[in-house]
Amino acid sequence: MNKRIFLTLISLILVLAVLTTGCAKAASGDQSLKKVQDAKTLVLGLDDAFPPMGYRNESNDIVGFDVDVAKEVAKRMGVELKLQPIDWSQKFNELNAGTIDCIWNGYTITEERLQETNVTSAYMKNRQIVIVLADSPVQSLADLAGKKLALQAESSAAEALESKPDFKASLGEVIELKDNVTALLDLKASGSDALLVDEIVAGYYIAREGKQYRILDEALAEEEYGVGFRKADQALRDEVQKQLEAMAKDGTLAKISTEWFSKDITTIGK
Amino acid sequence: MPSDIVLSVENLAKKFGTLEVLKSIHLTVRRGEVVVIIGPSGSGKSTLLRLINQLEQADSGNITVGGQVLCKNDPQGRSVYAAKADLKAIQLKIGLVFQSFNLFPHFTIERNITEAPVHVLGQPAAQAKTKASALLHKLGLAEKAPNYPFQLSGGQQQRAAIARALALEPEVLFFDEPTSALDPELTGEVLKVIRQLAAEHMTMVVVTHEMAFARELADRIIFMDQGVIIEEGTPEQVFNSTHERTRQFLRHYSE
Amino acid sequence: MVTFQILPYLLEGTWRALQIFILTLVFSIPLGIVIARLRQSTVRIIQLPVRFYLLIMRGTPLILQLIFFMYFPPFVLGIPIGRFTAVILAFSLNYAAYFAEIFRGGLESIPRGQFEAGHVLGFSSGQTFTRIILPQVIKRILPPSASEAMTLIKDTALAQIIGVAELFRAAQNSTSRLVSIEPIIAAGVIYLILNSLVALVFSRFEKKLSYYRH
Repeated sequence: MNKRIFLTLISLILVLAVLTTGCAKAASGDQSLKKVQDAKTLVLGLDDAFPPMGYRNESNDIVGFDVDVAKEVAKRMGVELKLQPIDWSQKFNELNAGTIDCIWNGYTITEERLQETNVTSAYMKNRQIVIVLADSPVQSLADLAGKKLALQAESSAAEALESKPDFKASLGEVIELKDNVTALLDLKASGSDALLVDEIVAGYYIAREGKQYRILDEALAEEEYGVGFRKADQALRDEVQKQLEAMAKDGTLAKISTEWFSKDITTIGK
Repeated sequence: MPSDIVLSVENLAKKFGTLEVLKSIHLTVRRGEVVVIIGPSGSGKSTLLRLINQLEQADSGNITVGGQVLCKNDPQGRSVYAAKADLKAIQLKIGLVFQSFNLFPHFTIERNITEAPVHVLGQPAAQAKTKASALLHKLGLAEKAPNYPFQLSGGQQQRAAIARALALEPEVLFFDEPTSALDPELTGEVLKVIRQLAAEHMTMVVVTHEMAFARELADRIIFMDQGVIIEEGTPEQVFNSTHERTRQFLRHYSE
Repeated sequence: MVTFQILPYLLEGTWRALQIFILTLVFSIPLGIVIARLRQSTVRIIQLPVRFYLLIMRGTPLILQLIFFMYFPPFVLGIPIGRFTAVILAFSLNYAAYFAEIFRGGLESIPRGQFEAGHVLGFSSGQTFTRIILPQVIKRILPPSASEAMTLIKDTALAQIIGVAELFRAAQNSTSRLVSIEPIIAAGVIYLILNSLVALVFSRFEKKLSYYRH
């Protein structure tokens, strides 16, 4: 009896969900670019605790490589860039609810994300690398068997790990933490043995923290960063793509990259 | 209807679930009369007072207070109540003193007394205060006006509660076992106040277990048992009753 | 000192947390009183939905409710609700449920005789409630309400899940940049100061109402 009520409830919720999703999608033609132009604002969703792509500086302004690139793109589109800090775990909800126009924050292109979102072509290469404490005995991925690996929940590191089921199975425990810095502090406090993280993000921390850490030679996955849009927002995605290509061509992208990473590590148009 | 009848109850009945608490009660109270109701616990004495004071709803029967109909039987024999606006006017004709005083603990004694005259009757605060102080003086509580109920003894609290009821100048004052919650040495001071009111010809209906007091003060005594009035009459008649149940009850109390 | 350097930023987050705290109290307390009274209704069509509401609000995590109010209405209505609005909505509805139950407990602890005395003296039920019952209920529910208010101060940290940068988020952001847990500790001190103030205000109130006893 109870079970029946439960099942009825569940099916009701599912039907409701399907209906509402259907409605939301059917309602909008591709007005995406026009909408941004009319509003004169491009709302960029980011985790503002993700250096060096997007984070708060000493004066509490959101800065970063992605932020600089996005600012230039917006300027060229003739719109204002609005930086909207979000909780990274809610990024798809934010996009689907229309509270942001794009996810642009070291957004690694993955199979799953291509399903969920409309992504530009890659503008930067990235790897998921493993960091250990400098004095750790761990030298290779194989050495991590039975050990504790930390990573940011809902991040591309988590997805990279999913794509290596054998490696994942060999681990003792996977510790999902709220953000990379908590994960790094966890490693420092020996709560975990190793940290799986974006190479570019790691670069920022290693530069700050220096010799405490060591990066394993083996990387987990070669990946690329892109900008994510709602699946239906083709026009907006194409416009941003176009601007990125133009910036690559006239050297602006290289210039911004050099400012942040002391060399051009962008990949678009190459 | 003679104008000196201030309360008339006819055929009143009340059930709690399947329990018949009151069965076909008739009661008439005249102006200036002191009626004392006695009877074992559970006999329906308190329920009768609560029905008259609108704290419970009658199932059937008529209640008329000061010439105004509180409730009246419809053709099906069910009590139909007066309109909401009238209910308040009817309630203001009568007062009720509770067994457990029910003073408002967050108000001073003075404010306990003035609150209703000011906010129900709309009297000016100064007038209500003058009246309150006169009442307190009369009931021997003059210096307690600024105190809070918890600072008073039980007897003093009950006297303050009587003052609170009197401030609205009711035509009839009901007492529901006014001394039952008090230590024996404190009942005297409350009974003294009731005696004082009787001397002023205040119309009163008193439910009590104080038999000596009933005998001394009542113009009429009503003996109730199991929801019915077994007999009523002068103290003389009731205390010398030949009725078996009345005798049994009174024997219990004379021991 | 890192803390000194990031203090303006933390204070900005503190102000946000305080806004959530104050607005939530402003909305949830009156709402809680209304809900408590509806909950006491003997009419089933009123009481049942209220009980259902109380179950949902107290039976699911606040963080989930935040996500729901932020992302579900735009899905259904097609209009974004606004981050801060969603926070205040979720917090107010959630805390109203807890305040309602505290309030109901207080209401039920008042002796029937107080209601009856009010009636017999000719007060309307509204007057009886506001003049006689409510002041006594307030005195009785101050201690549990103080705990609830202190929990609310700490719960403001949950607002970050839908992108509202309150104190804890501010601290975490500084932590990310500086790779130091000092900002988190500083935030902890600020929460402690805020709750000391809350506790102080409530004990002042209690003292003020200690002039009488039940």
